[in-house]
Amino acid sequence: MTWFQITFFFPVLSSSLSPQPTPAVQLSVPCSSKSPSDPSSPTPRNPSLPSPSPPADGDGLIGPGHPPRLASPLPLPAPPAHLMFLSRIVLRDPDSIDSPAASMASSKKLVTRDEWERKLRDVKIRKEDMNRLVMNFLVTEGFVDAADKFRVESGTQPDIDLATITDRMEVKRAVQSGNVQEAIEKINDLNPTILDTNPQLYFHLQQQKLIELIRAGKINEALEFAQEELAPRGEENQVFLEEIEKTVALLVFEDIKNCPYGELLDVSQRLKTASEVNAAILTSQSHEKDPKLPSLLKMLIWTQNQLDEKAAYPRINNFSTAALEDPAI
Amino acid sequence: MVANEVVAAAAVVEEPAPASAGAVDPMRLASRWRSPAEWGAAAAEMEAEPAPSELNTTNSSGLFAVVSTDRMSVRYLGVNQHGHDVGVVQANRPAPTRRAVYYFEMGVKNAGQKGQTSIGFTTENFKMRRQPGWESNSCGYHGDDGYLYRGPGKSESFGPKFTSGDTIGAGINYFSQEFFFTVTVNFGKEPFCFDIEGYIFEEKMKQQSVSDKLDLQPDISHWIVRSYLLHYGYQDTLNSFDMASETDPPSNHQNGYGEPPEMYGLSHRKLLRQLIMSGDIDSAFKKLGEWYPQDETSVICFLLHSQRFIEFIGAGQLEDAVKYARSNLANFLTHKAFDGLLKESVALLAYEKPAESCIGYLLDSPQREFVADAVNAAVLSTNPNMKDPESCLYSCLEKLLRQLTVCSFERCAFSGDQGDAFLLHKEVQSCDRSRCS
Repeated sequence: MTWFQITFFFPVLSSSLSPQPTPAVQLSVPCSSKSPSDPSSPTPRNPSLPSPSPPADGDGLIGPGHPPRLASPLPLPAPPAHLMFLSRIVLRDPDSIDSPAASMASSKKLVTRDEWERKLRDVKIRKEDMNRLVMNFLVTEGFVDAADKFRVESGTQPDIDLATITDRMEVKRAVQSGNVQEAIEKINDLNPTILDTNPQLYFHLQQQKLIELIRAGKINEALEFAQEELAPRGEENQVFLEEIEKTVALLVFEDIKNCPYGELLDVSQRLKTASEVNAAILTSQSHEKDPKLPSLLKMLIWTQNQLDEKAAYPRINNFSTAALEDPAI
Repeated sequence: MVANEVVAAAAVVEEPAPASAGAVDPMRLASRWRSPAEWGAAAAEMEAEPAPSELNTTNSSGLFAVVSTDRMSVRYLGVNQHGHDVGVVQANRPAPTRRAVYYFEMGVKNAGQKGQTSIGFTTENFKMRRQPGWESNSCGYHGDDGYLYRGPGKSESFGPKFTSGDTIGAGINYFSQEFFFTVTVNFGKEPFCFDIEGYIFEEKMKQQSVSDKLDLQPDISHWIVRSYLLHYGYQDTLNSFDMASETDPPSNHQNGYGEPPEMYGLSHRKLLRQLIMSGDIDSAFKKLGEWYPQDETSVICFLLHSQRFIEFIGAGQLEDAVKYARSNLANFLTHKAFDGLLKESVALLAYEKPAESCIGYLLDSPQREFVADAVNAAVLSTNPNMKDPESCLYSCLEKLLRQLTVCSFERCAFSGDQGDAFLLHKEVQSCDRSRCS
């Protein structure tokens, strides 16, 4: 009966002041939270921008038509017109304070396997929603043929135009097979703003190009490319500079496979760059750059860990069998 | 004669046969068999939680004499001579907890001479003539000094002072277990001055970045998707998937997960699914009988019969439908487990335009898919190597999603029903929403 300990908090307003003049306050209830996609919502957001957008310079004062924005709570000094403050207050801690160690052990609720299986059985999950989850994986990971077949076999509509996957996969494949210049051209064909707005991605592609030149033993070409294309970028950015230094160091080793930075020549480096390219293209197509499934799996790990603090219950530890394991008592 | 058959049908469901074939009840898949409207209602019900809608002016201190007709505004008429001359008004309901964040705002129309207005949260039995934050179990952000008060003797400099014309917001973030306050210069009539949707989005991202740091077994997602395709017999998809995985390095190492998923009856299951999904129940029936003979009174036969009936209606062949129902469905009529589906199917006859009726969803492909999934489960259950009967019904993915749903729900229950529990339907929709915006 956990809910007996709940403290309900009531929103309150108050006022106390001298009688003249009379104050008044007005409550506005959160009607907009019911319809998150409400087009009249004051601040349309771009989901591809996870960080709060700082107010434009010289535009901090607010007038009609200028929607308030979330001021970053930590590093930026908040603009005067709209501020947000956070205060950490633990909402409710009646029993957890007294003896944490003792209560931890004794208060853990045991959920038997029978009970748990009943709960699992009562969960309502739509086949359609699972199909969409699978389709989202196929599309995001670029399994274009499989996505098309799945559309036919399961009747699930893909959440993106399948033709765009083909283009994206061609770019990815070009990087994976070491044809960086081809990849850069294809990206620009797709959408020239991708590289313009993403200097880090562009740098990584250039770096990959240098790596491929070194791998091919084209030392002169590599040197020229490093000096002309990469060195100026290192001057702009310390992180880039370190990357360049590591990459150029490959040139001085005769046996490059076994030099300290040999991992740059590894397939995994290509894959890393390819996946960065993939994510940038997806983002430019207003699609989430990662498939939903892995983040749900991580959510399962996280939620199980959290629940461990409160209860002993049948866990799933092996995701490939999804077998329930009896709670350890 | 008829009565005997009905009893036999009942026995099949109520006491699952000990043989491996009978250990699975495909009707359990029927939780999916619901109309979109029902699903919407079920999701809404899970979400629904009464939220404050107006001020509770009857439980006020009495110092707010003037109340607007919509009970959204009050005016303080008290005389502020000591610390108990405070007018407090609560909302009519407590802040809802089954969500990530609760938030409300107040506009200060007139802060008065001393500007002592405040906003915050209290418990229900709070002394209504004290400022929120002065008493224990309350917190309040005060406009005259910009301090945050949270119990006797606990106060700290917090934010700017606020006064007439400002809009002040107060919220509870259940995930991070924090109260938060916002100050906005009031200028419009937008639903909220503060971008609370943006705030919730940020919080979700923070939450996600916590779990994103966790490590997954490499390629486990790939493996789970593959086993899903195998489980449901999506063989064409599976072949394309495997082919792409061979040429695509990132997923070309699916080892270390023990046994490969069941290939059992894959091509049969694929064909049966295709036939059912295309509405060709007669052929599906025939093939099933050939490959995996079923008891005439089994659940599977019932589902196929009812689907055949539905297909007649979908094709507008009402006479055939009636004839078919008389000879094939009547026997199941008094059986409880079949009651719901049967009654609704038969009710299709009553509508001139069944597709537009409230049970029109029976004519849609999700209903076919439900039958196809049930047949798939029945075929899987004939596999002598199938150790766990649950695995006939649920794919690995579904088991994990069920576990996630229950764990998330239990976790919320343990923390006083706070926070929004996981719901796949909501999650999948949010993919779509973020794409549209």
